Amino acid sequence: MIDPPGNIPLFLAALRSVPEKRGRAIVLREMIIALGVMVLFALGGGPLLAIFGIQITSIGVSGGVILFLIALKMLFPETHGPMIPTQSGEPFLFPLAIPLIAGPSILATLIELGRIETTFVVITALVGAWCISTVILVASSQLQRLLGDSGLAACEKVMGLVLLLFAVQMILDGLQATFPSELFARLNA
Amino acid sequence: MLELILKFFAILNPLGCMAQAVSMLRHFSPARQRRIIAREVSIALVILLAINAFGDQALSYLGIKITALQIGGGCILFLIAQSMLFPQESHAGDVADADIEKKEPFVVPLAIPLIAGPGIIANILIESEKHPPRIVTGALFAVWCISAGILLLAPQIGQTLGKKGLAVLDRFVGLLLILISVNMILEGVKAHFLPG
Repeated sequence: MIDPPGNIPLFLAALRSVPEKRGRAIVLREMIIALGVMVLFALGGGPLLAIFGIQITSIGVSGGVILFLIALKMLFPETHGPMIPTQSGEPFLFPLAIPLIAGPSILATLIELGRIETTFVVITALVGAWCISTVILVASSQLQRLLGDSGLAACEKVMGLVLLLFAVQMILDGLQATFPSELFARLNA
Repeated sequence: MLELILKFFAILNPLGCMAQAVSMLRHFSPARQRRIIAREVSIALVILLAINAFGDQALSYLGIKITALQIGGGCILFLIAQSMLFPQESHAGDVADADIEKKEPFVVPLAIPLIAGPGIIANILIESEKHPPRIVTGALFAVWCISAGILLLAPQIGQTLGKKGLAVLDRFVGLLLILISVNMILEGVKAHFLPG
């Protein structure tokens, strides 16, 4: 569910403006943050969200909306949108750690599993999956060198497109999960 | 097939590309300009054909469904179209122009994103879900031939139409694209939430 191979192009897109060495450090840092968030969720995610009255699907929808805005900036760099300042700096917490690694599906699963399994089993499985993902993603930052500067520039628009489509998919999935499926069935009838 | 050709033609918008390409390349000699344009349109064709061939595998790999493609592609096309209807002072072409004044443009920004832009890429992927690959490839190739011809004749056409004529044309195509893009978004929303 962390889906490291699927995340590789998205990571490359987000890290395009950062030198390669720094990129690897950032990936590692973001992975550790994501692990922290996921462990937090496995331990007490349900009550935590309940305090603020946040539905789990809101994470997906809001993550999708912000990812959408970032992708728009990549596709149309000249538009002076009021929301997102031009990302010249390195990404921190968003969008790599949340929602690309610690995304809505893995967080929801952690909360569910927390009810069935013991905390120890859940945390062990999580750390195991996390280690594999980290190795894959850190290794993937090598791809940046392979592509080169002009290659990355050519990829940027395509990456922006992929990021945007991914964001729309997140929003759609979140909306569908929020509203009961009977509602859509009734609308269809 | 014909509707596909017309649709691709409107989205690829070779006449709009032409105006920007001319302004970007005005520092080169006509013969050199023609060589650059010929190279860039060939690169764009290769890219578009590759997307046509492998695009859907890439999308399913990322877990992106066709409805998300319709909605996302519609949003991009809408934004492109509205910038054609309400042109800004600092146009995208001018910004790019400042960077490459002396350097010869290679792949970026002529092949990508001016010719093989996000709008046409998204549309190729959508249409290849609806039609057999032979038809999409054929339509794509036909539109590319026309566009390549127009771009190669860019200096002459620009002179005939004049600045005003090009601006008027841009408005018309922009309006058409707004309609196409809203239709894409609506189709995507409907297909996602009310399948069948």
